[in-house]
Amino acid sequence: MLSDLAESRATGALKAGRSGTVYLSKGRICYVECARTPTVEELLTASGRLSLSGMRTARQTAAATADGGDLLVRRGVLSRGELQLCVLGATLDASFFLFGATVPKPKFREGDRHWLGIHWFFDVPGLFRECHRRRARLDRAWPSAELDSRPVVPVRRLRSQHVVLTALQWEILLNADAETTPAELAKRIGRPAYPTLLAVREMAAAGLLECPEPPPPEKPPDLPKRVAGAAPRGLPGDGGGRRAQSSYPEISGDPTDVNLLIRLRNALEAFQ
Amino acid sequence: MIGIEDCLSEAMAIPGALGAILVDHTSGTALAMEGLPDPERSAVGLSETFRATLDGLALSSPDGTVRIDDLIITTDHGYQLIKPMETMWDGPLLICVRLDRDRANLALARRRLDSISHELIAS
Amino acid sequence: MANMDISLKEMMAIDGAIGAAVVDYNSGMSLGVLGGSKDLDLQIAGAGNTEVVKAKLRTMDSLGLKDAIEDILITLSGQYHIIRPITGRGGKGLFLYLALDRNRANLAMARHHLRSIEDKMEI
Repeated sequence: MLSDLAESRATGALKAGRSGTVYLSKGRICYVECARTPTVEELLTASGRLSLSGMRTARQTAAATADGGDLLVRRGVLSRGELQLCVLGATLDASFFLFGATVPKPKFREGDRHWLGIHWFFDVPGLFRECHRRRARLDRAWPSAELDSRPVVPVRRLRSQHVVLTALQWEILLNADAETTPAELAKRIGRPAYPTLLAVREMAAAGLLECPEPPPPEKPPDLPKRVAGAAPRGLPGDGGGRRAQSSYPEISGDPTDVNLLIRLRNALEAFQ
Repeated sequence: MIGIEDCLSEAMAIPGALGAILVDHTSGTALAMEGLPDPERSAVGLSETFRATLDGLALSSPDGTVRIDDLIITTDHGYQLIKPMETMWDGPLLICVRLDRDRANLALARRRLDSISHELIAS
Repeated sequence: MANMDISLKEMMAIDGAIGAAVVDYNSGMSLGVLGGSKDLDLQIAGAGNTEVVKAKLRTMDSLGLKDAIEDILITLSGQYHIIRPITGRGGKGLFLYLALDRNRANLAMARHHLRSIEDKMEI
């Protein structure tokens, strides 16, 4: 669908339900949004670079003209470079999570523009190449996706005596509260989701982070209420973590598995 | 205040400049480049070198923290200047310029790169 | 010709010098150190900077560059660190490492001195 739109030099927004949106101008991608990654607005406000009210005002002013980015630069609140870097970073980030996901059938809305305007163009093959490179980089850091969508928490005590952290890793440890997933952490601290996820995997590999123990699955639900026509009951947010009964051992989304892997690896290292 | 393309062309206007690249350090992504044969691999290499420098120095710094202002590598062929820049939501970004040994003036190049980086990111 | 002890003394005589070392970058161990303070553990700094050199060599290798590193200069908020691989007479796999106080040092002079110290050094 993207290549058709590119060929017909279409301008508008390709919306995949609530999962995300790809903005095109004359067939070229100029911005991508994904529900799982912070948008340009979220990055600038959550990081403290711009105030929420300032952003809101700019958005209202530029709603009809779709030149909000230029407005911010003209008013001197953001440099041209910062705006471009933010659009660039947010688009690479959103593409990584959006293009790899199963999304609802996208609908193209001809003529739809983003209120910030156009600040960078992306070529499609380059974008896909970068997504592949990022995927490989992530798997080199820690080859398991189980931590990606689960809340994480710093381990209470370290096995090592000394540790070196990057600034981003520090921010993540400070905010990892056993309830927030890496993607939510990214939005909270105003950092792109991919570097956050990479840092989470690196720290998991180093034994600094783990998934908190899940509630015992056999726990009877409190005050069961029957609602007519309700769907069969399941744990909220149970992202396929519980495995189907099977006689084969398998690696599941169960965080205890991940923690076991971390412990195993630590034990092996201690033997070296 | 300049944009990314101006930033690169100003970097390329430094006497002796052979190539320039803007790299997102945390992801190793080549964001924009000019005059480099293999930007994607350069970006990864630059990120790794910068990370190794941070890690190495953190170990030996008295309080365990490091802040690098710039990094200059001199080879028998030329210079490589690496300057980190911080935005509030991402970072550091690295701007790197390769310079010809015979035509470049290191002190001048260092000053120019410093001012370019401040023009690109105002915060 | 100068032996290692004399070379280390000469390095420490450079304006602003706070520590000097001769480091083997295969093992990260220092063959000799002089100076250092509570703010700079030279043994650890030497090991840390080994990673910098290795990362840089890996990068140049992956890019197919045949350049030989002459020196690496790292500017921190309060210090300069200069790493200089030794080229001649049994110095293969070794580098000189000099840490300078940024306020007291003359960077151009320090690099110049370090080059001549390396030239007449004998391991």
